[in-house]
Amino acid sequence: MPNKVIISVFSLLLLTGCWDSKEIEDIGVILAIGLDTGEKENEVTMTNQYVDPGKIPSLQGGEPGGKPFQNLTVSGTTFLEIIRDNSFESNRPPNYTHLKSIVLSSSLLKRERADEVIDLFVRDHEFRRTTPVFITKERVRDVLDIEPTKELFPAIQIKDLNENSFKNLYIPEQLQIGDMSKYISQEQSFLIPGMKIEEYLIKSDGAGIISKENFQFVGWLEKEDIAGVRFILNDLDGGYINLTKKEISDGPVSLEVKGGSTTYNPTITGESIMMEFNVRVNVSLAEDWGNKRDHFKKGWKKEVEKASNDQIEQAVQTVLTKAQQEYKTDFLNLSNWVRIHQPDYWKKNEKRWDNIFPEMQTKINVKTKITDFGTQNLK
Amino acid sequence: MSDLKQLSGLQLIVVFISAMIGVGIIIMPRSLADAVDAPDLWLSIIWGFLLIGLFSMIIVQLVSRYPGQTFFEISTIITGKYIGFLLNVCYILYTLIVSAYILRVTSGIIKNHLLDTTPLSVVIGGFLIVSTYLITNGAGDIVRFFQLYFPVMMFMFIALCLLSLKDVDINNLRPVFGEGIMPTFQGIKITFFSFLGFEFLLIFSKVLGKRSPNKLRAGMWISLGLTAIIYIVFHALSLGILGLEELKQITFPTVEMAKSIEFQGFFFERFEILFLVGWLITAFTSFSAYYYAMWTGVRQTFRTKSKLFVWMVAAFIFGAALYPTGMTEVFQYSRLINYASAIAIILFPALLLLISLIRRQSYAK
Repeated sequence: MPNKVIISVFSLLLLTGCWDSKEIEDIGVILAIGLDTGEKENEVTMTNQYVDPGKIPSLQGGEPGGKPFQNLTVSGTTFLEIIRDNSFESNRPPNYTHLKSIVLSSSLLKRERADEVIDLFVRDHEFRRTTPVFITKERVRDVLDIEPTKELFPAIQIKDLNENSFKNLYIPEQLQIGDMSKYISQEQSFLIPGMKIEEYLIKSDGAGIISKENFQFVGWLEKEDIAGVRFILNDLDGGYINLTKKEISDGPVSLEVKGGSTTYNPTITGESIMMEFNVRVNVSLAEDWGNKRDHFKKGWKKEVEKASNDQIEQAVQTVLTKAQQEYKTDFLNLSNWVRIHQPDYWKKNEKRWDNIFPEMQTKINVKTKITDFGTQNLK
Repeated sequence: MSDLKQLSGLQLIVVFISAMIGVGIIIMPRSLADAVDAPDLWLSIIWGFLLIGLFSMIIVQLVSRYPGQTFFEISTIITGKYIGFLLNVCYILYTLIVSAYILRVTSGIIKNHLLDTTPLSVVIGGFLIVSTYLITNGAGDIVRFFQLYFPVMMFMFIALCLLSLKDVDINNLRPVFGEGIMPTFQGIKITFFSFLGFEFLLIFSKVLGKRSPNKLRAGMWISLGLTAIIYIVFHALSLGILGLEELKQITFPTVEMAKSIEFQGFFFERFEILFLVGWLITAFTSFSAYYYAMWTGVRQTFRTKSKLFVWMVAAFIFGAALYPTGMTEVFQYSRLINYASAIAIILFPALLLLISLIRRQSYAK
C-alpha cells in the first residue's frame, strides 16, 4: 500500500505535461533572412523577417491590422552575434526551423566569400539544407520590405519565384543552401538565382555567378541567358521557344518544350579537349501565326525545326562564350562531364582546369523534334 | 531469467543484423568518403563483407567446438585459468570501450538534433538505465526485444530510401572504377569494422542450442550479406544526394540526408525526427548487445551472480562515455577502437582456435 502512495505522488510530479511549453506568439518564427553589407567596413547586416501572428487575417474575417510580418535589421561582424543582438529589440528569440528563403546581396558576396557567409547556416542544426537561396543587386532590406501580392509574407513570395521553372526556360532552377554547400565543397563555380524589384514587385531576374576562385560574386547572367544555361545543364522540364519573324519566314511561332535531354561527349586529341553537346528537345507546336503552313501535310516541320535548332544553338553558344571568354569561369559544371567520361585525363589535368576551360573547343548539335501540333489548325 | 532455450534461424539473423547496424550507418559514409575518395566507394563494403565473412568462419568453427559455452568460458577451457583470465579482462575492456563509444556517439546525435538543452550526462544516463533494465533480464529477452523492433527499424530504413530516391543525382556515383580498383581496397579498413557485432556469436552461444555448424555458417553469411546490402544502399543514396566532397564535410551524413527530405505542409515536413527515432532503436540494440557482452564477461570471469555488479558495469560505461571532451576527440578515439577490435575479433578467436586444434580439444558431439 505505501508503495502505491509513493508511486501516485511521484506520478503527479512527473506526469504534469507541458511544463516547458511555449506559446506560439512568443516564438520569433523567422521566415526569411537577408544578408547584406553594413555601413562600416567589414560590417555585415542581417535582416530577419519575423511572423507577427496577431496580424495574420483569419478566415472569419478578423480586421487586418497591417502587415503580418516585421523586419528587423541588425549589423555586426558575425551572423550569430547579430542573431543574439536581436534581443536588444525583441524578446522573441528567433527560431529558424520554418525558414523559407535566404536572400543574399551581390555587394556582400563581392566583398566576402560565400563559404564564410553561409557557414552558420549549414553548421547550425536549426537550419535545413532545403532552404532556397537567392541573390539580388538591390538592398536586401528593400526586397524583404516589399508587400507581396499573392502571399501573406514576402519570404514565401520569394520562395515561389522559381517554382514555375518547369513552365519557363528563362527562370533558373531553385538553388538550395545544401546545393550551395555542395558546390563549395566540390570547389565548383555556380549560379545563384537572381531577383530584382520592378514597379514595387519582386521579380525573378537572371542569376548571379559565384566563381570558385574565392567564392565571390563575379558577374550577372541576364534573364535571356538562362535558357542557354538550362539547355547546357540538362535541366529541361518545360518552357517555350519563341521564333520571331526574323527567325522564321512566316511567323511568329511558339513551341512548347515537352522535354529533352542533353548528352555530353568530351573527346581528347593529344593535349586539347573538345566538348560536344548533343541537345535533344521535344516540342509541340503551341501557337502559329503563319497561315501558310498546313500541318496535315508532310514537310512543314522542317523549317520550324531548323529555326528552333538555330535559336537553341545560338542561346547555348552565347552562354558558353560568356563562361569561357567573359568570366573564364566554369559555372556550368562542365568539369563534371570530363571527370565522368575521361577520368584519366581529368586526374592529370584537374589542377589546370581553370586554364584549360577557356581554351576548350565546343561543338553544339541541336535536334528539335516536333511531336504534336494541337487540336485544330486554323488556316 | 529467460526461458528461451534455442534461437530460431530467423531470430539468429535478426540478432546479428540488429547488433551490427548501429552508429556505423550514421558516420560511416563520411569516414569512407575520406578514405576512398572516389565515387565508387560502395565497392569497399563488398570487399569488407567478404573479408569479415571469412573471419566469422573462424568464430563459427570455435563456437561449434564448444557448444553452449561463451567466449569467457572457452578461453579458460583452452588456455587455462590464468591466461584465460587475462584474455577475458582484455575482452571485457574491449566491450567497455566499444559500448562507451556507441553510447557517446548516439548521445551526441540525440543532443545535437533532439534534446538541445539536456545535459549530456542525463542523455547518457537515461540510455544506460533503460538498457540495463533490458539486459538484466537475460539473453532471451534481449533477443525478443531485437525481434520486436526489427520491423520498425527496417520500415524506417525503407521509408528513408524511398523518400530520398528522388533527390539522387546518379552523376555523383560515376565513374565506377574511374581510379581503378585500388582505392576501393583502401576503404576496407573502415568497412571491415562496420560489421562489428557479428562476434556476438561468441556471447550468444548459450542460446544457440544444438545448431549444426553448417546452419550457423549459412545464418552468418545471410546476416552479413543483408547488412552489406543495407549499407550499400545507404552509401549509394547519401553519395547520390550529397556528393563525394560534401560527404567528407558533414558530421552525420545520414541525418542530413533525412533532413533534406521535405514535403511542404505535410506530415513528413520534419522527417528526420521520425528517422532518428527509428535509428535510435538500432543504436540501442547494438549498444545493448555490447553491454550484455560486457556484463556476461564480468559475471563469468569474476564468478558472481549478484545483480549489483551490473550497476558497476554501468558506472564504468558511463565514465568511459563521458571521458572524451568533444566530438573531435570521439572520432579520434574511434581509430584506437578499430585496433582494439581487430585484436578482439580476429586475433583472440584465431589464437584460441589454433590452440584448440593443436590440443585436439573439442566438446562437440
